[in-house]
Amino acid sequence: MLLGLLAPDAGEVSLLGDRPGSLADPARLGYVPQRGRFAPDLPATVTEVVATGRLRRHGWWRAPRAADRAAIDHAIDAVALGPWRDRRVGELSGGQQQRVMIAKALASDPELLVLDEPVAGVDAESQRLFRDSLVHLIEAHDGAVLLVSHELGAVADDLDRVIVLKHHVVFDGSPLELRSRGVSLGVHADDLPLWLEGLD
Amino acid sequence: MPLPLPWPFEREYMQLALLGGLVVGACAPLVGGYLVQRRMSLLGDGIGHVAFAGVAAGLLLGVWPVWTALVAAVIAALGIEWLRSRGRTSGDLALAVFFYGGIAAGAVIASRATAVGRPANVLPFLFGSILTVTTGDTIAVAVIGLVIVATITVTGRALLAVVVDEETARVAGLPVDALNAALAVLTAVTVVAAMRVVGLLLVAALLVLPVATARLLARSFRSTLLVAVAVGVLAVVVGLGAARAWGLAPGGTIVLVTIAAFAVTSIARPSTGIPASPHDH
Repeated sequence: MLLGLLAPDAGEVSLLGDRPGSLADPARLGYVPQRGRFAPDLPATVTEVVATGRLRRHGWWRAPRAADRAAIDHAIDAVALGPWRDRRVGELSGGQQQRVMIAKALASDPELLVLDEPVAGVDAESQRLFRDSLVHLIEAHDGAVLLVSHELGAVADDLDRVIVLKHHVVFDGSPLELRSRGVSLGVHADDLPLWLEGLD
Repeated sequence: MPLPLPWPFEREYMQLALLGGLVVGACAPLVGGYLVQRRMSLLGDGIGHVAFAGVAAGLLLGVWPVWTALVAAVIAALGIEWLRSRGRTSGDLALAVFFYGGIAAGAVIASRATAVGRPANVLPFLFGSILTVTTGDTIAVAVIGLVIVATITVTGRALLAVVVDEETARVAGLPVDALNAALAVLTAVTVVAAMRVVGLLLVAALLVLPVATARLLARSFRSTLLVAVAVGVLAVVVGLGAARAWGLAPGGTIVLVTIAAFAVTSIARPSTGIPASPHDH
Protein backbone atom coordinates (compact mmCIF):
# COMPACT_ATOMS: atom_id res chain seq x y z
CA MET A 1 0.00 0.00 0.00
CA LEU A 2 2.84 2.33 0.88
CA LEU A 3 4.31 1.65 -2.57
CA GLY A 4 0.99 2.17 -4.35
CA LEU A 5 0.82 -1.45 -5.53
CA LEU A 6 -2.32 -2.13 -3.42
CA ALA A 7 -5.26 0.15 -2.62
CA PRO A 8 -6.45 0.42 1.02
CA ASP A 9 -9.99 -0.81 1.84
CA ALA A 10 -10.46 2.18 4.10
CA GLY A 11 -8.49 5.23 5.19
CA GLU A 12 -5.68 7.06 3.45
CA VAL A 13 -1.97 6.53 2.92
CA SER A 14 0.31 9.52 2.59
CA LEU A 15 3.89 9.17 1.34
CA LEU A 16 6.35 12.09 1.09
CA GLY A 17 3.29 14.38 1.15
CA ASP A 18 1.71 12.64 -1.83
CA ARG A 19 -0.48 9.67 -2.68
CA PRO A 20 1.52 6.41 -3.07
CA GLY A 21 1.68 5.28 -6.68
CA SER A 22 1.24 8.82 -7.98
CA LEU A 23 4.27 10.61 -6.57
CA ALA A 24 5.15 13.66 -8.63
CA ASP A 25 8.74 12.42 -8.49
CA PRO A 26 8.83 8.61 -7.99
CA ALA A 27 12.64 8.72 -7.91
CA ARG A 28 12.30 10.06 -4.32
CA LEU A 29 11.33 6.53 -3.30
CA GLY A 30 13.68 3.55 -3.44
CA TYR A 31 12.30 0.03 -3.02
CA VAL A 32 14.05 -3.25 -2.35
CA PRO A 33 11.66 -6.19 -2.72
CA GLN A 34 11.63 -9.23 -0.46
CA ARG A 35 12.93 -11.86 -2.85
CA GLY A 36 16.52 -10.75 -3.25
CA ARG A 37 17.39 -12.91 -6.25
CA PHE A 38 17.58 -12.30 -9.98
CA ALA A 39 16.71 -14.85 -12.66
CA PRO A 40 19.84 -17.06 -12.70
CA ASP A 41 20.07 -16.83 -16.50
CA LEU A 42 19.67 -13.03 -16.69
CA PRO A 43 22.44 -11.92 -19.07
CA ALA A 44 23.02 -8.53 -17.43
CA THR A 45 25.95 -7.13 -15.44
CA VAL A 46 25.79 -5.53 -12.01
CA THR A 47 26.29 -2.10 -13.62
CA GLU A 48 23.47 -2.67 -16.13
CA VAL A 49 21.04 -3.74 -13.41
CA VAL A 50 21.95 -0.88 -11.06
CA ALA A 51 21.62 1.57 -13.99
CA THR A 52 17.95 0.57 -14.37
CA GLY A 53 17.40 2.08 -10.91
CA ARG A 54 18.61 5.47 -12.18
CA LEU A 55 16.27 5.65 -15.21
CA ARG A 56 13.57 7.71 -13.54
CA ARG A 57 16.12 10.36 -12.47
CA HIS A 58 17.48 11.10 -15.95
CA GLY A 59 14.37 10.20 -17.97
CA TRP A 60 13.88 6.57 -19.05
CA TRP A 61 14.08 7.42 -22.74
CA ARG A 62 17.48 9.18 -22.40
CA ALA A 63 20.97 7.78 -22.18
CA PRO A 64 22.61 8.36 -18.76
CA ARG A 65 24.88 11.39 -18.56
CA ALA A 66 28.24 11.59 -16.78
CA ALA A 67 26.55 12.56 -13.48
CA ASP A 68 24.18 9.59 -13.77
CA ARG A 69 27.04 7.19 -14.48
CA ALA A 70 28.85 8.60 -11.42
CA ALA A 71 25.73 8.03 -9.27
CA ILE A 72 25.47 4.44 -10.56
CA ASP A 73 29.15 3.78 -9.77
CA HIS A 74 28.74 5.38 -6.35
CA ALA A 75 25.72 3.17 -5.55
CA ILE A 76 27.73 0.07 -6.51
CA ASP A 77 30.65 1.17 -4.33
CA ALA A 78 28.29 1.98 -1.44
CA VAL A 79 27.29 -1.70 -1.24
CA ALA A 80 30.93 -2.82 -1.68
CA LEU A 81 30.35 -4.48 -5.06
CA GLY A 82 32.97 -2.45 -6.98
CA PRO A 83 35.09 -5.49 -7.96
CA TRP A 84 31.97 -7.25 -9.26
CA ARG A 85 30.51 -4.42 -11.35
CA ASP A 86 31.11 -6.23 -14.66
CA ARG A 87 29.93 -9.62 -13.42
CA ARG A 88 26.65 -11.17 -14.51
CA VAL A 89 24.22 -10.78 -11.58
CA GLY A 90 23.30 -14.47 -11.80
CA GLU A 91 26.91 -15.41 -10.97
CA LEU A 92 26.79 -13.64 -7.59
CA SER A 93 25.91 -15.17 -4.22
CA GLY A 94 22.51 -14.52 -2.62
CA GLY A 95 23.92 -11.84 -0.31
CA GLN A 96 25.68 -10.08 -3.20
CA GLN A 97 22.54 -10.16 -5.35
CA GLN A 98 20.62 -8.65 -2.51
CA ARG A 99 23.17 -5.82 -2.33
CA VAL A 100 22.75 -5.30 -6.09
CA MET A 101 19.04 -4.74 -5.39
CA ILE A 102 19.95 -2.17 -2.73
CA ALA A 103 22.42 -0.42 -5.06
CA LYS A 104 19.69 -0.32 -7.74
CA ALA A 105 17.37 1.40 -5.25
CA LEU A 106 20.16 3.76 -4.07
CA ALA A 107 21.01 4.76 -7.66
CA SER A 108 18.07 7.15 -7.87
CA ASP A 109 19.30 9.05 -4.74
CA PRO A 110 16.05 8.31 -2.89
CA GLU A 111 14.86 10.33 0.08
CA LEU A 112 13.15 7.24 1.44
CA LEU A 113 14.39 3.69 0.98
CA VAL A 114 11.84 0.94 1.70
CA LEU A 115 13.23 -2.55 2.27
CA ASP A 116 11.04 -5.63 2.64
CA GLU A 117 12.67 -8.42 4.70
CA PRO A 118 16.10 -7.54 3.31
CA VAL A 119 18.29 -9.82 5.43
CA ALA A 120 16.21 -13.00 5.22
CA GLY A 121 18.62 -15.86 4.60
CA VAL A 122 21.68 -13.63 4.16
CA ASP A 123 25.05 -14.45 5.77
CA ALA A 124 26.65 -12.35 8.53
CA GLU A 125 29.24 -10.62 6.30
CA SER A 126 26.54 -9.53 3.85
CA GLN A 127 24.41 -8.33 6.76
CA ARG A 128 27.30 -6.13 7.96
CA LEU A 129 27.86 -4.68 4.47
CA PHE A 130 24.11 -4.17 4.16
CA ARG A 131 24.04 -2.24 7.44
CA ASP A 132 27.00 -0.10 6.31
CA SER A 133 25.26 0.82 3.05
CA LEU A 134 22.10 1.92 4.89
CA VAL A 135 24.10 3.99 7.38
CA HIS A 136 25.89 5.56 4.38
CA LEU A 137 22.55 6.54 2.81
CA ILE A 138 21.37 8.12 6.06
CA GLU A 139 24.61 9.91 6.97
CA ALA A 140 26.04 10.90 3.57
CA HIS A 141 22.81 11.44 1.61
CA ASP A 142 20.42 12.56 4.34
CA GLY A 143 18.00 9.79 3.39
CA ALA A 144 15.50 7.86 5.50
CA VAL A 145 15.15 4.10 5.66
CA LEU A 146 11.98 2.10 6.33
CA LEU A 147 12.89 -1.48 7.09
CA VAL A 148 10.14 -4.12 7.20
CA SER A 149 11.64 -7.16 8.88
CA HIS A 150 11.46 -9.90 11.47
CA GLU A 151 15.25 -9.88 11.72
CA LEU A 152 16.57 -6.58 13.04
CA GLY A 153 19.72 -7.87 14.74
CA ALA A 154 22.11 -6.52 12.08
CA VAL A 155 20.81 -2.96 12.41
CA ALA A 156 19.60 -3.03 16.04
CA ASP A 157 22.03 -0.30 17.15
CA ASP A 158 21.21 2.06 14.28
CA LEU A 159 17.40 2.32 14.48
CA ASP A 160 15.73 5.58 15.48
CA ARG A 161 12.17 4.32 15.69
CA VAL A 162 10.59 0.89 15.89
CA ILE A 163 6.96 0.20 14.99
CA VAL A 164 5.76 -3.29 15.85
CA LEU A 165 2.67 -4.49 14.00
CA LYS A 166 0.49 -7.48 14.72
CA HIS A 167 -2.97 -6.81 13.29
CA HIS A 168 -2.54 -3.29 14.72
CA VAL A 169 0.28 -1.13 16.10
CA VAL A 170 1.61 -2.99 19.16
CA PHE A 171 4.51 -0.67 19.83
CA ASP A 172 5.76 2.66 18.47
CA GLY A 173 8.88 4.18 19.98
CA SER A 174 12.64 4.04 20.28
CA PRO A 175 14.59 0.78 20.55
CA LEU A 176 15.53 1.89 24.09
CA GLU A 177 11.87 2.05 25.11
CA LEU A 178 11.32 -1.36 23.55
CA ARG A 179 14.23 -2.71 25.54
CA SER A 180 12.82 -1.19 28.73
CA ARG A 181 9.84 -3.48 28.15
CA GLY A 182 12.25 -6.38 28.19
CA VAL A 183 12.23 -6.89 24.40
CA SER A 184 15.51 -7.00 22.51
CA LEU A 185 16.04 -6.59 18.75
CA GLY A 186 19.12 -8.77 18.74
CA VAL A 187 19.22 -12.53 18.61
CA HIS A 188 18.43 -13.40 22.22
CA ALA A 189 15.97 -15.51 24.10
CA ASP A 190 13.77 -12.42 24.53
CA ASP A 191 14.03 -11.23 20.92
CA LEU A 192 11.23 -9.64 18.92
CA PRO A 193 9.89 -12.69 17.05
CA LEU A 194 9.54 -14.61 20.33
CA TRP A 195 7.75 -11.67 21.92
CA LEU A 196 5.36 -11.51 18.96
CA GLU A 197 4.68 -15.24 19.24
CA GLY A 198 3.43 -14.64 22.78
CA LEU A 199 1.13 -11.74 21.81
CA ASP A 200 -2.51 -12.35 20.98
CA MET B 1 20.97 -2.61 -61.81
CA PRO B 2 22.64 -5.15 -59.54
CA LEU B 3 25.61 -4.05 -57.42
CA PRO B 4 29.00 -5.63 -58.19
CA LEU B 5 28.82 -8.26 -55.43
CA PRO B 6 30.51 -11.66 -55.68
CA TRP B 7 28.68 -14.96 -56.11
CA PRO B 8 26.16 -15.96 -54.73
CA PHE B 9 24.89 -12.38 -54.48
CA GLU B 10 25.73 -11.16 -57.99
CA ARG B 11 22.10 -11.28 -59.24
CA GLU B 12 19.61 -8.50 -58.44
CA TYR B 13 17.04 -10.86 -56.89
CA MET B 14 19.73 -12.23 -54.56
CA GLN B 15 20.75 -8.70 -53.57
CA LEU B 16 17.17 -7.74 -52.75
CA ALA B 17 16.86 -10.98 -50.75
CA LEU B 18 20.13 -10.21 -48.97
CA LEU B 19 19.10 -6.67 -48.04
CA GLY B 20 15.67 -7.74 -46.73
CA GLY B 21 17.23 -10.72 -44.97
CA LEU B 22 19.95 -8.63 -43.30
CA VAL B 23 17.39 -6.15 -41.93
CA VAL B 24 15.28 -8.98 -40.49
CA GLY B 25 18.34 -10.95 -39.33
CA ALA B 26 19.51 -7.90 -37.37
CA CYS B 27 16.15 -6.65 -36.04
CA ALA B 28 14.48 -9.90 -34.98
CA PRO B 29 17.11 -10.83 -32.34
CA LEU B 30 17.05 -7.23 -31.08
CA VAL B 31 13.38 -7.66 -30.12
CA GLY B 32 13.86 -11.34 -29.23
CA GLY B 33 16.45 -10.49 -26.56
CA TYR B 34 13.73 -8.96 -24.40
CA LEU B 35 11.13 -11.64 -25.23
CA VAL B 36 13.42 -14.52 -24.25
CA GLN B 37 14.22 -12.97 -20.88
CA ARG B 38 10.52 -12.31 -20.23
CA ARG B 39 9.84 -16.02 -20.87
CA MET B 40 7.75 -15.02 -23.90
CA SER B 41 9.78 -16.83 -26.54
CA LEU B 42 6.67 -18.16 -28.27
CA LEU B 43 4.91 -14.79 -28.53
CA GLY B 44 6.30 -14.33 -32.04
CA ASP B 45 4.91 -17.72 -33.04
CA GLY B 46 1.44 -16.90 -31.70
CA ILE B 47 1.43 -13.55 -33.48
CA GLY B 48 2.66 -15.24 -36.68
CA HIS B 49 -0.31 -17.60 -36.67
CA VAL B 50 -2.74 -14.70 -36.36
CA ALA B 51 -0.87 -12.77 -39.07
CA PHE B 52 -1.69 -15.74 -41.32
CA ALA B 53 -5.40 -14.90 -40.91
CA GLY B 54 -4.47 -11.32 -41.88
CA VAL B 55 -2.67 -12.54 -45.02
CA ALA B 56 -5.71 -14.60 -46.03
CA ALA B 57 -7.99 -11.58 -45.43
CA GLY B 58 -5.74 -9.46 -47.66
CA LEU B 59 -5.90 -12.05 -50.44
CA LEU B 60 -9.70 -12.22 -50.10
CA LEU B 61 -10.13 -8.44 -50.14
CA GLY B 62 -7.52 -7.81 -52.83
CA VAL B 63 -5.43 -5.68 -50.43
CA TRP B 64 -1.60 -5.98 -50.11
CA PRO B 65 -1.38 -8.86 -47.57
CA VAL B 66 1.48 -7.16 -45.69
CA TRP B 67 -0.93 -4.43 -44.51
CA THR B 68 -3.66 -6.82 -43.39
CA ALA B 69 -1.06 -9.08 -41.75
CA LEU B 70 0.32 -6.05 -39.88
CA VAL B 71 -3.14 -5.06 -38.61
CA ALA B 72 -3.92 -8.65 -37.52
CA ALA B 73 -0.49 -9.04 -35.89
CA VAL B 74 -0.72 -5.80 -33.89
CA ILE B 75 -4.25 -6.64 -32.68
CA ALA B 76 -3.10 -10.16 -31.70
CA ALA B 77 -0.01 -8.79 -29.91
CA LEU B 78 -2.04 -6.35 -27.84
CA GLY B 79 -4.70 -9.03 -27.17
CA ILE B 80 -2.16 -11.56 -25.92
CA GLU B 81 -0.43 -8.92 -23.76
CA TRP B 82 -3.80 -7.82 -22.35
CA LEU B 83 -4.77 -11.38 -21.41
CA ARG B 84 -1.32 -11.97 -19.89
CA SER B 85 -1.14 -8.75 -17.88
CA ARG B 86 -4.67 -9.06 -16.52
CA GLY B 87 -3.87 -12.56 -15.35
CA ARG B 88 -7.15 -13.71 -16.93
CA THR B 89 -5.37 -16.74 -18.24
CA SER B 90 -1.87 -18.15 -18.14
CA GLY B 91 0.57 -16.91 -20.77
CA ASP B 92 0.77 -20.20 -22.67
CA LEU B 93 -3.01 -20.70 -22.66
CA ALA B 94 -3.53 -17.18 -24.01
CA LEU B 95 -1.01 -17.97 -26.75
CA ALA B 96 -2.74 -21.28 -27.56
CA VAL B 97 -6.08 -19.54 -28.13
CA PHE B 98 -4.45 -17.11 -30.58
CA PHE B 99 -2.34 -19.85 -32.25
CA TYR B 100 -5.29 -22.03 -33.21
CA GLY B 101 -7.74 -19.18 -33.74
CA GLY B 102 -5.33 -17.55 -36.20
CA ILE B 103 -4.61 -20.66 -38.26
CA ALA B 104 -8.28 -21.71 -38.27
CA ALA B 105 -9.48 -18.26 -39.32
CA GLY B 106 -6.74 -18.11 -41.97
CA ALA B 107 -7.77 -21.48 -43.43
CA VAL B 108 -11.46 -20.47 -43.52
CA ILE B 109 -10.79 -17.05 -45.06
CA ALA B 110 -8.37 -18.51 -47.64
CA SER B 111 -10.99 -21.10 -48.68
CA ARG B 112 -13.53 -18.28 -49.01
CA ALA B 113 -11.09 -16.35 -51.22
CA THR B 114 -10.74 -19.37 -53.51
CA ALA B 115 -14.55 -19.74 -53.60
CA VAL B 116 -15.01 -16.14 -54.82
CA GLY B 117 -12.42 -16.61 -57.56
CA ARG B 118 -9.34 -15.14 -55.84
CA PRO B 119 -7.13 -18.22 -55.46
CA ALA B 120 -5.18 -17.71 -52.25
CA ASN B 121 -1.59 -18.88 -52.53
CA VAL B 122 -0.63 -18.74 -48.88
CA LEU B 123 2.50 -20.91 -49.08
CA PRO B 124 4.94 -18.01 -49.74
CA PHE B 125 3.69 -16.39 -46.54
CA LEU B 126 3.80 -19.58 -44.47
CA PHE B 127 7.29 -20.66 -45.54
CA GLY B 128 8.77 -17.43 -46.87
CA SER B 129 9.68 -16.46 -50.41
CA ILE B 130 12.67 -14.21 -50.00
CA LEU B 131 13.93 -14.88 -53.55
CA THR B 132 10.80 -13.28 -55.02
CA VAL B 133 10.81 -10.07 -52.96
CA THR B 134 10.40 -6.90 -54.99
CA THR B 135 12.15 -3.56 -54.51
CA GLY B 136 8.92 -2.31 -52.87
CA ASP B 137 8.93 -5.23 -50.39
CA THR B 138 12.57 -4.56 -49.53
CA ILE B 139 11.95 -0.85 -48.96
CA ALA B 140 9.00 -1.71 -46.69
CA VAL B 141 11.18 -4.14 -44.70
CA ALA B 142 13.99 -1.55 -44.46
CA VAL B 143 11.57 1.12 -43.14
CA ILE B 144 10.15 -1.36 -40.60
CA GLY B 145 13.73 -2.19 -39.59
CA LEU B 146 14.55 1.48 -38.97
CA VAL B 147 11.41 1.85 -36.83
CA ILE B 148 12.41 -1.21 -34.76
CA VAL B 149 15.98 0.02 -34.20
CA ALA B 150 14.79 3.53 -33.30
CA THR B 151 12.19 2.21 -30.86
CA ILE B 152 14.65 -0.15 -29.16
CA THR B 153 17.20 2.69 -28.92
CA VAL B 154 14.67 4.83 -27.04
CA THR B 155 12.90 2.17 -24.93
CA GLY B 156 15.68 -0.44 -24.53
CA ARG B 157 16.93 0.75 -21.13
CA ALA B 158 13.41 0.89 -19.68
CA LEU B 159 12.53 -2.49 -21.22
CA LEU B 160 15.59 -3.93 -19.46
CA ALA B 161 14.31 -2.46 -16.16
CA VAL B 162 10.99 -4.30 -16.70
CA VAL B 163 12.85 -7.49 -17.63
CA VAL B 164 15.00 -7.26 -14.47
CA ASP B 165 12.07 -6.69 -12.11
CA GLU B 166 8.60 -5.56 -13.14
CA GLU B 167 7.45 -4.69 -9.62
CA THR B 168 10.33 -2.35 -8.78
CA ALA B 169 10.06 -0.79 -12.25
CA ARG B 170 6.41 -0.02 -11.48
CA VAL B 171 7.25 1.46 -8.07
CA ALA B 172 9.96 3.57 -9.74
CA GLY B 173 7.23 5.14 -11.87
CA LEU B 174 8.23 3.63 -15.21
CA PRO B 175 5.30 3.21 -17.65
CA VAL B 176 5.43 -0.59 -17.36
CA ASP B 177 2.10 -1.33 -19.11
CA ALA B 178 2.95 0.93 -22.03
CA LEU B 179 6.42 -0.63 -22.32
CA ASN B 180 4.95 -4.15 -22.32
CA ALA B 181 2.48 -3.10 -25.01
CA ALA B 182 5.32 -1.50 -27.01
CA LEU B 183 7.30 -4.75 -26.85
CA ALA B 184 4.24 -6.70 -28.05
CA VAL B 185 3.70 -4.30 -30.97
CA LEU B 186 7.42 -4.40 -31.84
CA THR B 187 7.15 -8.19 -31.95
CA ALA B 188 4.14 -7.94 -34.27
CA VAL B 189 5.98 -5.54 -36.60
CA THR B 190 9.04 -7.83 -36.62
CA VAL B 191 6.88 -10.86 -37.42
CA VAL B 192 5.40 -9.11 -40.45
CA ALA B 193 8.83 -7.93 -41.63
CA ALA B 194 10.21 -11.47 -41.28
CA MET B 195 7.16 -13.04 -42.97
CA ARG B 196 8.61 -12.85 -46.47
CA VAL B 197 12.08 -13.94 -45.35
CA VAL B 198 11.50 -17.13 -43.36
CA GLY B 199 7.69 -17.44 -43.41
CA LEU B 200 5.16 -17.08 -40.61
CA LEU B 201 5.74 -20.63 -39.37
CA LEU B 202 9.46 -20.01 -38.81
CA VAL B 203 9.35 -16.37 -37.76
CA ALA B 204 9.84 -17.05 -34.06
CA ALA B 205 13.07 -18.92 -34.81
CA LEU B 206 14.79 -15.68 -35.89
CA LEU B 207 13.48 -13.90 -32.78
CA VAL B 208 14.70 -16.53 -30.38
CA LEU B 209 17.52 -18.76 -31.68
CA PRO B 210 20.23 -16.11 -32.23
CA VAL B 211 19.50 -14.86 -28.69
CA ALA B 212 19.83 -18.39 -27.30
CA THR B 213 23.30 -18.58 -28.86
CA ALA B 214 24.32 -15.11 -27.67
CA ARG B 215 23.30 -15.88 -24.08
CA LEU B 216 25.92 -18.63 -24.04
CA LEU B 217 28.67 -16.25 -25.11
CA ALA B 218 27.96 -12.74 -23.82
CA ARG B 219 28.25 -11.37 -20.32
CA SER B 220 26.20 -8.15 -20.45
CA PHE B 221 22.72 -7.56 -21.85
CA ARG B 222 24.12 -5.12 -24.38
CA SER B 223 26.67 -7.61 -25.69
CA THR B 224 24.00 -10.34 -25.71
CA LEU B 225 21.95 -8.21 -28.11
CA LEU B 226 24.99 -7.37 -30.28
CA VAL B 227 26.13 -11.01 -30.52
CA ALA B 228 22.53 -12.09 -31.28
CA VAL B 229 22.36 -9.52 -34.10
CA ALA B 230 25.68 -10.81 -35.46
CA VAL B 231 24.40 -14.41 -35.36
CA GLY B 232 21.15 -13.37 -37.10
CA VAL B 233 23.01 -11.50 -39.84
CA LEU B 234 25.51 -14.33 -40.33
CA ALA B 235 22.71 -16.91 -40.54
CA VAL B 236 21.02 -14.89 -43.30
CA VAL B 237 24.22 -14.59 -45.36
CA VAL B 238 25.22 -18.26 -44.92
CA GLY B 239 21.64 -19.51 -45.30
CA LEU B 240 21.00 -17.54 -48.50
CA GLY B 241 24.35 -18.61 -49.95
CA ALA B 242 23.68 -22.29 -49.17
CA ALA B 243 20.15 -22.01 -50.57
CA ARG B 244 21.54 -20.58 -53.83
CA ALA B 245 24.36 -23.13 -54.07
CA TRP B 246 22.24 -26.23 -53.50
CA GLY B 247 18.77 -25.02 -54.53
CA LEU B 248 17.36 -25.25 -50.98
CA ALA B 249 14.36 -23.42 -49.46
CA PRO B 250 16.02 -20.19 -48.20
CA GLY B 251 13.76 -19.61 -45.15
CA GLY B 252 14.26 -23.10 -43.79
CA THR B 253 17.99 -23.00 -44.55
CA ILE B 254 18.46 -19.73 -42.63
CA VAL B 255 16.67 -21.19 -39.60
CA LEU B 256 18.72 -24.41 -39.77
CA VAL B 257 21.91 -22.29 -39.77
CA THR B 258 20.77 -20.52 -36.56
CA ILE B 259 20.10 -23.94 -34.99
CA ALA B 260 23.55 -25.15 -36.09
CA ALA B 261 25.12 -22.02 -34.55
CA PHE B 262 23.32 -22.74 -31.28
CA ALA B 263 24.33 -26.42 -31.30
CA VAL B 264 28.01 -25.69 -32.02
CA THR B 265 28.13 -22.94 -29.36
CA SER B 266 26.46 -25.17 -26.75
CA ILE B 267 29.00 -27.94 -27.35
CA ALA B 268 32.03 -25.62 -27.53
CA ARG B 269 31.03 -23.44 -24.62
CA PRO B 270 32.51 -25.37 -21.64
CA SER B 271 36.02 -24.35 -22.73
CA THR B 272 35.20 -20.77 -23.82
CA GLY B 273 32.28 -19.82 -21.61
CA ILE B 274 31.77 -17.50 -18.71
CA PRO B 275 34.25 -17.96 -15.87
CA ALA B 276 33.19 -19.56 -12.62
CA SER B 277 31.53 -17.57 -9.89
CA PRO B 278 33.74 -15.34 -7.69
CA HIS B 279 34.21 -16.41 -4.11
CA ASP B 280 30.97 -16.44 -2.22
CA HIS B 281 30.17 -13.97 0.53
